[in-house]
Amino acid sequence: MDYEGQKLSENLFFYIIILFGSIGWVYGCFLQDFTYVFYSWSVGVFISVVLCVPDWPIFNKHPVKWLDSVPGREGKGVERESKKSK
Amino acid sequence: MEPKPTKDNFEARQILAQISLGIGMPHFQPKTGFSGSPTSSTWHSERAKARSWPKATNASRPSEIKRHKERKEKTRYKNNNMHTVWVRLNAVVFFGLTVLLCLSVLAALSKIGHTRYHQPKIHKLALNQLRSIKNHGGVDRALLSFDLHADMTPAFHWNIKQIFVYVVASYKTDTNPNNKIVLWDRIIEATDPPSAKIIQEENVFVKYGLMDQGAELRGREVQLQLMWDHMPLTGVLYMGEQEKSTTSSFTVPHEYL
Repeated sequence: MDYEGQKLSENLFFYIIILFGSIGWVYGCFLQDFTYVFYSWSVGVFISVVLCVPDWPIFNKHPVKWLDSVPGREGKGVERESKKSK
Repeated sequence: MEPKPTKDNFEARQILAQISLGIGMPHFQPKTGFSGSPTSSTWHSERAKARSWPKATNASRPSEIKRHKERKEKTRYKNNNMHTVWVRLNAVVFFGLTVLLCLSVLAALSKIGHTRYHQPKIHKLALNQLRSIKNHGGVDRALLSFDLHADMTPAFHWNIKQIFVYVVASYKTDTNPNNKIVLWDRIIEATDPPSAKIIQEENVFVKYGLMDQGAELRGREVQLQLMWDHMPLTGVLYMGEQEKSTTSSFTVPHEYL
């Protein structure tokens, strides 16, 4: 997951949990039963865990570009560098 | 040649390892007061030779050090700034719990003042029959039964888990001006069927005897009052009680029976 993906993931779970929680709260308030709030909230958390925790491809669209390494003596550093990091 | 001191050996191996890993020549700082084996004078001189690098290597050292530093920098960023799957799981779960806490507190706040407009209706709470009044080891104990008609439904709302209903007998004696004794109780849960929230019972025998601290119960006027505790899902436990004007009283006989 790259930095942009991390940001997206955090925003996603933030809004998903709050949305499900508040919808459940209003629904539960009308029916005067707090279990609806809890169930709705649970669904929200479950969706968030499935969506935001694993490293889905959508979170890897902005890979971090590292600067080229400074060539070492006899220009060997770059070769070694590219071999290692691939 | 004498056996090499292990400390030197270790350092030499480290240098080799660093070179073979491609990190470059390690940066040596001349150590003062290096403690080798005190008798190994030949080893010391060899070490001194080894410290003075060939000219070519010396010249290339700054760039090697720079490269080494850059590599370290990269590893640092990778380790500290990217979140692992566990960090994300932790963030989601605990943010979720924080939201649940907020929702619970909001639910509790939404019911402030509920009792002002919703009071349980106590239709009847009165003595049915005084079964016995006896002296047990120096203290008076009365056993009785009562009738209770009460509708507890108004006390329930979405932040109530259960209500603890209890009958309190209160009376005055010469020794204690204020006696309150619980005779009977019941837990009504929010999940119980609506019929359970309406108590409609005749001739209920007490759970706990009406026991005085001394032997002063005979001839006293005893008042029966219904009280209840609201046990919320979130928030403070608060009590409710039958209005004093609607309570009933009876007088305990003057003689044991």
